[in-house]
Amino acid sequence: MHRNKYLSVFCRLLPVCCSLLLSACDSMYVDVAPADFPPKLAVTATIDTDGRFFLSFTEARSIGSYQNWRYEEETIIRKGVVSLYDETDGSIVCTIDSSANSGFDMSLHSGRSGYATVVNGLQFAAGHAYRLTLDIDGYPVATATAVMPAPPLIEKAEADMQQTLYRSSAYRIDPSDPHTVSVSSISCHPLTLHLTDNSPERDYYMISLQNEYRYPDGTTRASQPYIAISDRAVIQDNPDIEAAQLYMDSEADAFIFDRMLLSDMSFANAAGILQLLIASDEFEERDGKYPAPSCPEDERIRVTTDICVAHLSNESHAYYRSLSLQKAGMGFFTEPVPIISNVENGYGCFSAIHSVRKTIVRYEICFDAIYGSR
Amino acid sequence: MIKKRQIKMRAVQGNTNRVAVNAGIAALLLFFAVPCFAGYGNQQQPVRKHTISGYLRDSLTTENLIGATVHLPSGSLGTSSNRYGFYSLTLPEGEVEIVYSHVGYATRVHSFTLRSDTVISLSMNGALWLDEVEVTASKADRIQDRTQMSAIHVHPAQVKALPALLGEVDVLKVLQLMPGIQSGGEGSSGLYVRGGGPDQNLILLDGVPVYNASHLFGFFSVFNADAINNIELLKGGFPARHGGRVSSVIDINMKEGNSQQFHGEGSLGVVAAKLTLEGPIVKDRTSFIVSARRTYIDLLARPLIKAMNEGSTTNVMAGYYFYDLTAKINHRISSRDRIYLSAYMGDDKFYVDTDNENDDYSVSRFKNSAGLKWGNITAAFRWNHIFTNRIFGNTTLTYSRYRMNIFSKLWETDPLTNTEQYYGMDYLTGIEDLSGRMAFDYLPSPNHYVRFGGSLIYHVFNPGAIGMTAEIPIDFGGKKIFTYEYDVYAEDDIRLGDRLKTNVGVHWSAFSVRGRFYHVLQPRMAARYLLTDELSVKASYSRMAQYVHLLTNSNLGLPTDLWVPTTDLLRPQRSDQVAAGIAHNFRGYELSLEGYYKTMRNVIEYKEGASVFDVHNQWEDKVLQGEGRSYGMEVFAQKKTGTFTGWIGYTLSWSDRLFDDLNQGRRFNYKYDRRHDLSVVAVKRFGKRVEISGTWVFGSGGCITLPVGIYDAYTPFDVNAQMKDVIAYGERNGYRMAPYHRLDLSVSLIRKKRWGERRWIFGAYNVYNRKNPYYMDIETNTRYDGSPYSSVPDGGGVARQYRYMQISLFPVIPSVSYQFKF
Repeated sequence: MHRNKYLSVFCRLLPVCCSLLLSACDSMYVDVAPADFPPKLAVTATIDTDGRFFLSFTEARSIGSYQNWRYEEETIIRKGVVSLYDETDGSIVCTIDSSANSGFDMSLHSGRSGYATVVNGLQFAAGHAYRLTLDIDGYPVATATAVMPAPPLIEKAEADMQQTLYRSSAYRIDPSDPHTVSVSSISCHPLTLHLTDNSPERDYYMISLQNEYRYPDGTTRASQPYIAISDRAVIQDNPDIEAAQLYMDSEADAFIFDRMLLSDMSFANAAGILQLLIASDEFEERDGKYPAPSCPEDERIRVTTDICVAHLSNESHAYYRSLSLQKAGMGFFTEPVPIISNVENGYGCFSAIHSVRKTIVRYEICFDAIYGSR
Repeated sequence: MIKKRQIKMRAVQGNTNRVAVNAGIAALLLFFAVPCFAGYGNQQQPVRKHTISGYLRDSLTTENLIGATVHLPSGSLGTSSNRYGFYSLTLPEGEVEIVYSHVGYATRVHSFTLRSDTVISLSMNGALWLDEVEVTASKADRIQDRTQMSAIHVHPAQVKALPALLGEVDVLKVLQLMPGIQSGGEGSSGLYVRGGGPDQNLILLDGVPVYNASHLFGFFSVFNADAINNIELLKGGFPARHGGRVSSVIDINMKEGNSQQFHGEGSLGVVAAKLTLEGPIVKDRTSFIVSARRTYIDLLARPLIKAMNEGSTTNVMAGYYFYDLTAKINHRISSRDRIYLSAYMGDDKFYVDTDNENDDYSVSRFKNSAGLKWGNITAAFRWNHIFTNRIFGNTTLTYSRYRMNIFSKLWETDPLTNTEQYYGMDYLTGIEDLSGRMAFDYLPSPNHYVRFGGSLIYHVFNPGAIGMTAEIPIDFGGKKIFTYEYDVYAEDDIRLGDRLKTNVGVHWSAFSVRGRFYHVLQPRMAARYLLTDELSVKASYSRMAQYVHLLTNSNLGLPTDLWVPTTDLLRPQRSDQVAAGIAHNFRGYELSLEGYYKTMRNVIEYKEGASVFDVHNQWEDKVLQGEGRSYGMEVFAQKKTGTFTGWIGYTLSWSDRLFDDLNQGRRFNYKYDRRHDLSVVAVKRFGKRVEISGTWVFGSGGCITLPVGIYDAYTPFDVNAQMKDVIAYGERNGYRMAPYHRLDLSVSLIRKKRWGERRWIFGAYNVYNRKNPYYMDIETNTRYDGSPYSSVPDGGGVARQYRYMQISLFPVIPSVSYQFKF
């Protein structure tokens, strides 16, 4: 009798206890007062050998200061002086001073946080060190230095339009390993870059592609194609490197802002062939027809790809790579990625980029084949 | 150039290795030689000596008594029983009085004339079954007399007496209440010993390594307290017989099974039920024990889920359960030979099954099954043989397998063509061991206790591979790695006069993988000196090496953690630890104070941004090796006897790491660095029918890498594009969460019945409902509702808010369970 009573009580208690268990997890908002975190500038600035000075800066604030709602426009920055010096010869390259116009020129700004502008027509020389100083109202003076690297050397670039590969992302694949595989999702053509690295030091490269469609009437349209690293980078004429080291170490690579970052880990001071994949574009996807011999020259759409290989400093590479890793993270399941910075009294990066371009004609196609007769 | 430098370094390393091997061989010879000269001084006045040996067992359960002491009344000469209950004591011929004692057992004294080698096997009476016997720690069993320092012994009775989460007692959680041992977080059964990582603990179940000792994402351990006879944890001063991990050895012995009578015990709790049966197969010769446990949350939730599915075309069934099964048979072949066969099997499974009978867009029927499953299997065959009255041998063959599987299966059935298409994805990781071990105890005289032996382990690592089954089956990810691990050891526990006792030894281990051969010579030393009869000082040094690593996400302890070997790229982990302390026995209270300093080399961490689910990169490319350091002080005061028992443990410690590529090369806190850690444990028995117990723990908050700042980054060359919410992190593990503290209470109502005993246990976990931090996250909110700034071109009044959120797991949780024993 007693036993039955106990059993009955026990059975009633069980669901109650289970409900308690299920409702156990709880979250609460907490005030955190981390170590001193005064507002600082987050700088993204780049100079390149095309004579451009791209400057942008926003405000980096403590997360604690966002406990209450904060409008994006509150972080627009309007006043200050930005100076760019050539430290090698001591000259001032450029100054942006808001006092001349009672505030920064906001014509390019469009309501985004911080401030951004582009200055063209400047001159930057390889080997020169450049110092950027930002003296912005309300923030500590931020400075950064970057050395313009030597130009990269592209010996040759070619795309193989006859061979179509299918990739969705780039795995480090060992051809002798049956366990590695690429998963199909997008059709690509191999793009081969013959690069020569002239320095035994570690060098870093950024590669970007730009398609241009030139129509028979002379108009053009540009697009940025998907780019992926191919199976491997092959080193030629370098007997010092063992076969196992011939493959590009994908750990050194990252993709950010549709650009690919890589190091010369596997081809330092040597000639190397980098095999990339360039995504098929819309015309190929539609019917893959190339111009019949009968298609007159002035009826052809000419598709070219600009390959831009840029040499960038170690700090810039580390900054972009850390940015890429942080954004690619899977939240709780990923180790935290601190963003590398070369800005004193601030965040972000001041980069000097030496870029070289190569244009290849990928294919021509008859206008009629795509759009019907005009 | 680089290659040449590597070759040179290898050559230098090769020479160092040869020197180390020679030194190792010399040391081994020395240790084997020591016992041979042990009686040299006595050859001047030859005295005939004889050996008293035998087994010590519990009179009621017939279990081996491990660490029971056998000594002369003066305490000047003595020995202790090994893990199989065997003892051996060599004494001069003549009248002898031998005292047999063990904590929690009535002391027995045997007087007789020793004329020849004598076998005395005794059954001792446990205190739980005695009414009048005063149970005290005997003279030779006192903390200040033991050479071994940094050791913790826990009896299953202690485990069962303490309050538990959801009423489910847990062996590893009791160890977390000891100084020098931290838990991984709220509810976790993970162990972090003296600043070491979770992979640096060798957890042995009957001598077999258990690679994942957790159920329910770490909230419970796999060890069922009903089937356990003894638990020992070493966190420093490691004797040479132990090796394979750098921070601790947790040696858990299963019960043998009662060889006299059938007995059973079991319980029904809030989340699980368990049953243990034991008894003789052939009385006094062969016995068995079998124990099983299973949770039933899934079974209870099933009707609820079915009700929720009513009226829907999609049937969903989800659940979680774990079970474990432990079994052991032992057979006495003769007075000198005994064999054991033990096995453990346990699994956790979390699953979601869906069955979509009528999809809106297709006539096909879809069935999906997805989930996560992990578990261990271990098995051991053991042969004990007494070669002579002074040499005891143990030969063991073991098998251990840990496997984790994330699966997703989809069946698509087309009723028109009656065809079925199957798509599947499996993520598999695990480790499998096969090993053989021989160990010998040699007791040439009461002044020496020599142990020597060796083992060979064959490891098969499967460090994460994904298999996909579709039109074309595809496998990718980590390939299996096959390795061998070897070790030999020799040690001697030497008594040098009445006050000084030392344990010196050497352990040599080696590992071969992918054509590389690593080996490490590991000297071990420990000494105790009696200052007074009640007070001793102790010191120890030990070097440890380990060849297996656990890749674990720093945010959460998941079964997705990967066991990986030392490879040509990843070097073995090593630690050097010195410890010193005092041990004092004061009116039945044991007090110990220890300080330690430990350095660790080649400890492993994920790279920044690495994720266990990133299968694009090989696991070796995702990890880094660096250095670790920990030091601190531990105070432990314990009362073991009487109706009021318990302990207070306090740890003051520091633990940090140094990696070239983490935290910009600066030293940083280890995630489980705790400055203060305090545990108070008390058990009070009121008569024979009521027992009340409580634990209170306090620990400094856990270390995390906290996002401290936030900003938008413009894309280079594009003033129109921004990357939002770039996070600026503070120092790695530089933020300490709120302190952790918790009070648990439990009341047991005990009643003897005709058939045995029953207990109702009422408990409460986290009695005062402390919201302890489990982890922290940032909540991001965005609002598009116009603002005073809407006049800004293309603005639009976007407002953002970021808030720190602390996630806590367990509020106050009451529990009730019913236990029975017959």
